[in-house]
Amino acid sequence: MTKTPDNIFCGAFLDRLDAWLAGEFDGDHMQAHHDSCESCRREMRLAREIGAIATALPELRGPDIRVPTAQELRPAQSVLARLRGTWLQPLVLVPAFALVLAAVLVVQLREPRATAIDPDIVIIDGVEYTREEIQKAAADLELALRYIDKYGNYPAQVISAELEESHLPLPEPQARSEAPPTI
Amino acid sequence: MHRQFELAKQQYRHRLFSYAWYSLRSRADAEDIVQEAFLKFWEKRDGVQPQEVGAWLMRVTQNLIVDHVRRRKARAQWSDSEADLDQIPQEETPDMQHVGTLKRIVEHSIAQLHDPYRTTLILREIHGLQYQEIADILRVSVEHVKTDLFRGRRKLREIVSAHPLYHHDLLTP
Repeated sequence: MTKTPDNIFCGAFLDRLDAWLAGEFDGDHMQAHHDSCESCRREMRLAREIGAIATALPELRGPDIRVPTAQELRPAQSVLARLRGTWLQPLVLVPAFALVLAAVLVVQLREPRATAIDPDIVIIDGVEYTREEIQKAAADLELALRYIDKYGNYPAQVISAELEESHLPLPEPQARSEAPPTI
Repeated sequence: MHRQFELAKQQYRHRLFSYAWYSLRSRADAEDIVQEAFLKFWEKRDGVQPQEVGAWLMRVTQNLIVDHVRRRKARAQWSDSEADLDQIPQEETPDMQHVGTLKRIVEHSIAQLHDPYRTTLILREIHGLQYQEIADILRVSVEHVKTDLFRGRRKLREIVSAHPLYHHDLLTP
């Protein structure tokens, strides 16, 4: 690294050389350094020579652009339409369908078979009860149990009277068991 | 739209090919990249403003070149494609057979530059674009373009100077 009498180092000269050559940097000290430094003069000659060669490099003749195929020439589609189009390809659709089918089969085989009972309908001994009826029956049963706890062998008429006021529709004797409905 | 595509082909295919060739020094790769760039243009044509077509194509080509170089480096197949130089048809580069050593070194060294220096230098030196045009393509400021250009020239000199075939006698006295 040489520092010449113009008070500039070669590194600083080289840093500014391209800007100076492009006319973007003005400085008498650049010219002074150039005049006094053989190494930097050679670097500047190289810069000029490379610049001349690069600007003389020809623009090459490009290939004939082939016309896109019919598939490539499809009209512009939205992302959704393209996605739909992709899914409709047999190579995508068939494996996808098979995958879904396999998944369904696996789920079916692994899950316990669910009963097709309306959750709002409970069948006890062949008689259908609604959720509301079951809730009322449970309330009646709780009341009855409280009576039993409180009075023990209190006459059954008391319990019957209370039960008659309850909302539980009494089933036909032949269709109902004696036991209270269990949920 | 077909009209715009045809215009773009006529107007930019040589520039794109030159840019790709000077970056990769492989005719086959450069052709593939230009074809792909135009295919992408066709697919995205609705989103490209007519006045933006040139810059858009250059950006796409730049990305394709960068990807290509990255893949090539990943495959560790980076090589001096001197053979490709000879594949350029004679009528396209009439002085190619008489090219001086320094010119060959410079061509080779340009391809060794990293982006954005390589792109900036090719657009400025070979294609003669104005700073503002380069700034529009690369989406940077004009000052940024100048900085990259000056740094690119210096790096190019370093690569040329380090080339095994380079010696000071190659310079014009």
